[in-house]
Amino acid sequence: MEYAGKLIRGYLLSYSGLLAVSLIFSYLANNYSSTPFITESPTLFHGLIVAPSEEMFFRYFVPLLLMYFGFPYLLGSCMVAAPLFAAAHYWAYNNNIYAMLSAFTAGCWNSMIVYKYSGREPFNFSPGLLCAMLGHASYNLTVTYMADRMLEISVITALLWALFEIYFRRVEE
Amino acid sequence: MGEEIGVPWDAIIVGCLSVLYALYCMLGNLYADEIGDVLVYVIYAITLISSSLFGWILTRRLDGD
Repeated sequence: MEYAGKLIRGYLLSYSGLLAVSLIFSYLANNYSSTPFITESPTLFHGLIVAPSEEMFFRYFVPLLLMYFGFPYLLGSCMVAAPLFAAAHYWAYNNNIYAMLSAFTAGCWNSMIVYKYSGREPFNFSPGLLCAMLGHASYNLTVTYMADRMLEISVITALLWALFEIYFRRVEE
Repeated sequence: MGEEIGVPWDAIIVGCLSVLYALYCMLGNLYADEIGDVLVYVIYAITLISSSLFGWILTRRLDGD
């Protein structure tokens, strides 16, 4: 029950947060118009391999490597892995500075999701990493197929997260 | 880092399933002669598998095994 609760809450928070980050930077990129980013990168169509692969590398392997040298997870993830993630998106999206900033913020957001919703003793990245993977995959699919519904979906998933947060806190008490 | 580290087997299992999905898509791309997309799938699949594998090895070393 504890695992399921963390998985559901982590996934919803990751998904809604990623959509919100993308919307915010889309507004900034388009001079506060309502049009979200719509990129035509073919990698978005590969949402079910791109997202797990990126999360496994940038939210698991790179921070773990830094933890091996004594850095805390959040410090390594936000200060090293997130800038690398942003640099990859800067290159992938035709040197778009807003895509890079959006990717950096999204990387930090998912790092916090992984940390918040992972078990302690041991810190096993579970289910936080899976939450980040599923949230990222859902975000990629949403941006590809339902970009005009991003705001509504972000609000609805945020509300669902809040409801589940209240419910599972009561169950845990 | 004082706390123990564990391996995220749930994420690794889902990652393996996504690699299987990528292999399935690759076959379709090869059939349609879309080599560029095949390379994308290969790169991401290798990244996922190697991150999982090296992450597991690092965890073993961190735990002193």
